[in-house]
Amino acid sequence: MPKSATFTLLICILLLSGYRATAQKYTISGYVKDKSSGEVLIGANVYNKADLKGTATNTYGFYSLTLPKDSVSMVVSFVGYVPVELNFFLDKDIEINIELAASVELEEVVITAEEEIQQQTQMSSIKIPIQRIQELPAFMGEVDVLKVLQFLPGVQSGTEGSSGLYVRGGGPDQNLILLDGVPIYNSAHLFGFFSTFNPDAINNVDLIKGGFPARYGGRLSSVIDISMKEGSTKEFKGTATIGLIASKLTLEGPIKNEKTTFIVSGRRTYIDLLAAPIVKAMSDGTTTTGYYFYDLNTKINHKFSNTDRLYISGFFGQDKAYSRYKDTYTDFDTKYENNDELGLNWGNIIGAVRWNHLFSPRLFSNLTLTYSRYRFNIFERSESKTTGPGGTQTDTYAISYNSGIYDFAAKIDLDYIPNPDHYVRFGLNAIQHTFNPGVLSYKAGALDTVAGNFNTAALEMATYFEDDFRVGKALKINAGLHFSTFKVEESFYTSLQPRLSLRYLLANGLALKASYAAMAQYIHLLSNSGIGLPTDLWVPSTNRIKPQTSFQVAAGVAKTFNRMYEVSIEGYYKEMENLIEYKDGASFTSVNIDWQDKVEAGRGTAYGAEFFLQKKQGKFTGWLGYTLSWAYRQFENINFGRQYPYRYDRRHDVSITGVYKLSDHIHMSAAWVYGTGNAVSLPIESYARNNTNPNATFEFWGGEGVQYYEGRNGYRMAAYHRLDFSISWIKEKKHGIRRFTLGFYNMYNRKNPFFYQVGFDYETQQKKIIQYSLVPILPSISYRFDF
Amino acid sequence: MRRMKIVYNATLLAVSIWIMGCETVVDVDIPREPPKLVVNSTLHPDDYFRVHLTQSQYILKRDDYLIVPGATVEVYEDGQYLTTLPDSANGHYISATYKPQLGKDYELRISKAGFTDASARVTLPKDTARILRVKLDTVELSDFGYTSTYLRFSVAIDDDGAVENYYQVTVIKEAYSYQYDFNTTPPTKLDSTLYREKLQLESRDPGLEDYQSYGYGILFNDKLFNGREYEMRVLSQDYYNGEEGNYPPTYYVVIANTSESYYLYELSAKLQYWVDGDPFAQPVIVYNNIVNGYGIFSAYNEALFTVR
Repeated sequence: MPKSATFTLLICILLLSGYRATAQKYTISGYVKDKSSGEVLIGANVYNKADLKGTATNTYGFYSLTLPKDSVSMVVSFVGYVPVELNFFLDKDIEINIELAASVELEEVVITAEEEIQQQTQMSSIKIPIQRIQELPAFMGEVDVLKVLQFLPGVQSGTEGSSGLYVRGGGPDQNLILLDGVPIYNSAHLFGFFSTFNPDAINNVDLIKGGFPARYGGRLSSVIDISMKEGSTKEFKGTATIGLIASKLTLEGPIKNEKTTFIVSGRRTYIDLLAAPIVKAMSDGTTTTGYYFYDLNTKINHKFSNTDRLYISGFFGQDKAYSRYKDTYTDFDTKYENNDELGLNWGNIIGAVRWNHLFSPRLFSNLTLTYSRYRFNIFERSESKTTGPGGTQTDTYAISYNSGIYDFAAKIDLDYIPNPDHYVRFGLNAIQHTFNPGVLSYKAGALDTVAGNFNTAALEMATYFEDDFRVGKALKINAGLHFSTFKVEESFYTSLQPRLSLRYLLANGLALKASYAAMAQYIHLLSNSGIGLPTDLWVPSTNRIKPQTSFQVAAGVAKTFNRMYEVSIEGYYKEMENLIEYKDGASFTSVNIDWQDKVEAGRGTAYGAEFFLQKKQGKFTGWLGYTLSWAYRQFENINFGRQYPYRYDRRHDVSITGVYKLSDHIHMSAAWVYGTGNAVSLPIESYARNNTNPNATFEFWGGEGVQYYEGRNGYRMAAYHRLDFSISWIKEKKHGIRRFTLGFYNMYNRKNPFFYQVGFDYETQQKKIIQYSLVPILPSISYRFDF
Repeated sequence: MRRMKIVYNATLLAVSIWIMGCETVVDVDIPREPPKLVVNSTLHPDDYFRVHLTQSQYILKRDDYLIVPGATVEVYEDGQYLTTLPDSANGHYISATYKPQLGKDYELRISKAGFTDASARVTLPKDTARILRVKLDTVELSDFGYTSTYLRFSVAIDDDGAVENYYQVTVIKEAYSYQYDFNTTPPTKLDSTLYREKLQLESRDPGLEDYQSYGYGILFNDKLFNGREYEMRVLSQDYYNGEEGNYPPTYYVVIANTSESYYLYELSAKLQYWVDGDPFAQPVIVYNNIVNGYGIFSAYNEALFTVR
């Protein structure tokens, strides 16, 4: 770390440590948890009723509230839970762990939410409890965290069915997706139709689209911070779900006592198992083909003492598509045996060890060691054996293409809460990346060659300091600095990123908010399709390819009405530099060319406005989101240097979701989305090629003339809209609760465009533009049992 | 490359599985634009002014491109009116008198009732490339463990740093072909014919894109060697057969200095054709320098070197 950064950090710590000495104050600290499961509640509100000064629990459910020696009336609340009020006289540091009981909403209890939006300094942020995600309609019955995020304003969904996220004009590589603090590089199963996150293992999801606090870095457009459950401290329990395409099983509970808990959650699809006998029968037993994915989340945590906890977690996810062909036959006196296998594999493995330590009731630390690996592989193997009178001859060949990224990381994060007016965070992290951007190996008999781009190692380091503080009663500021470095090849990149968020509370409870965030991203995703295929390559910044950088400014207003409705309106402007894209016509398959020769660097601009209305409580909950936005790209050698609309430039984007709890036993939910059509390149005219040049370098065989495009992404596909609906019947049984859900994706069977192509209609003998639509109305059923 | 196809096909298979089963086909309306003038013209100092005029058509039409007869095609040289090209049938407008001159700026102004007037400009590059040497040798190169023999043409260019240069190297082979009567034993040689053909070339120059590295000519710019001497090497797998071994062919290496429009059009048109139908590739927009129309107005100047 440069000396200047270390010095700044030390000065800040020393300055802030002075808070304690200035007044006689004591600290109340502890954890807030769910009463029935013992799961921590993230973002629960803890405040003193007398002066309304308070704090919120962090990612580990920890809070720290320092108040003057006096009578305290402490209120702890969280949405969906009955608040707790504790009255006592504060004359020493005390630890209070609080358990909140889930409310029975049908009784219309007025429940205080988590920290209300106008109280938060942070803007452009949405926190979604997993319970709310699980209530919404799900694609093929599989509840998907990322698909729910697509319903939020400022988040575009990409193509039909895909779980890719395009936040405020950014690309899918610009989202920092963290699972228990570990970056996940490929968050998709089944070519993007499902995300890798099993909702049964998740506790909370936080989305930040702008005004990034200094503790986050490494990506330009968003942070998606997903926290896994810790496992019930109360009792052994589980959840089993049987769905249309996949089944899940989650088991959790204490080990021996409440000090150690575990959770294991697994999911696997079974299309391949169901289809295998059919495929085999149809091919006379010669062919086996199929596809499956699985994922497994595991976590164990142990409380050594009131000041030390250890968490060990792991995630294993894998997709595999395969085809095997085996054939044997005899012709006269010669026997022929053929064995062919072709397949694609891709998947993530992550592991994390985290140690929470309380240095004092006001200083919370978390040390994390992580490993993250994403690997993609295509392979083909073939063996032909010929046995005849002359002996046996065997021909073999194997071809394999691998790409991936491997990370080892260590980080320490500290939360220092000297008093209710300051919440200080600082920390340090280092990531050792190893990139493998495409290697092809080929074996045929004695020949064994390898071609492609070999591993590149890089070291990414960052340090940050931020303080969320109050200036008077109305103004809250979150100011911070994020400083990062990246060492790769002979290059050493550095980036100092100031971050600032402001909130000014007007007398009528309306909060004015503004933010500025500079970001840097040292890794890039090379994408041919732009739809998030596993073939997309993660590559580092290099001597030639500079890091991506951006700045974003945002301003808005927010208010909670009747403690029931939360409204926010925001405008933003973002500029991005050093974005990369494949050059025209370049393809990931040409491994004989260095990837750096296949890309262009350019810039992007995005701006827009977002409106978000949420109802978080009551029989009916839901939200309405609307986004008006523009997103552009500009590359020197693409579109002849002219600016063009980003593929997911979506002028209007609307989402409406609702969950209605008809009774304890019947819950209904619906979601409707509308978006301006994607910007695509489509020829609108054609014309004759130049035939006046006898020196032309290329002969055009057949085909038509030149196809004329109105620039890249110059054509708009038809608008996208669909309605999803689901209804659940819930019943308490002897050994648990069963939930039967019937769902419909694309309820009114809208034929949404997936892509357009110039085609030919043989019936009419006419050329046509053909729209391919992917998902018609899709019913689903699932059965879930909580025991 | 065949092996890469396997990787490519595997991915294609996967994507097909993904798309399969739930595709529907729906007609989509594309707005019809009124046809525009399509102007194609490449100037060369040894050739008379020649323009081919057609009209664009709606993307869903399959007809042959309609020529535009009876148009007024005016040529301006350095801003001064030079001539009007006569209609020479089949959409061609060819001057019988004028040839373009090196270093001059040319403008075409085209008008025809029913179309918006179109225009275009180009400068005929002043000098041919300053070529220091051209040589031919053979080289053995290995790909995936297989070794092949190539003819290697090396062209050393002394690049002019004051201007952006665009070069094209083509190679013309001149040789005899022999005809035999195979009804006799041994076959009887009947005749020999002198022929010329353009060689298929490739280059492994690091500054070239994949699609730029193959073809009847190798087209490149001086971005990576502006103002310096540079040797461009092009390869051909042309080899002598038995008879030719006795009468080695003559190779003419043609080095052209082209206009920027020539370079951009040739490469983008080739790339559009190259990636047509590739679902992984972004569609390519072909360079167009016709104002209020489509097509290309380009120019080149060339020098020829003989190697054996």
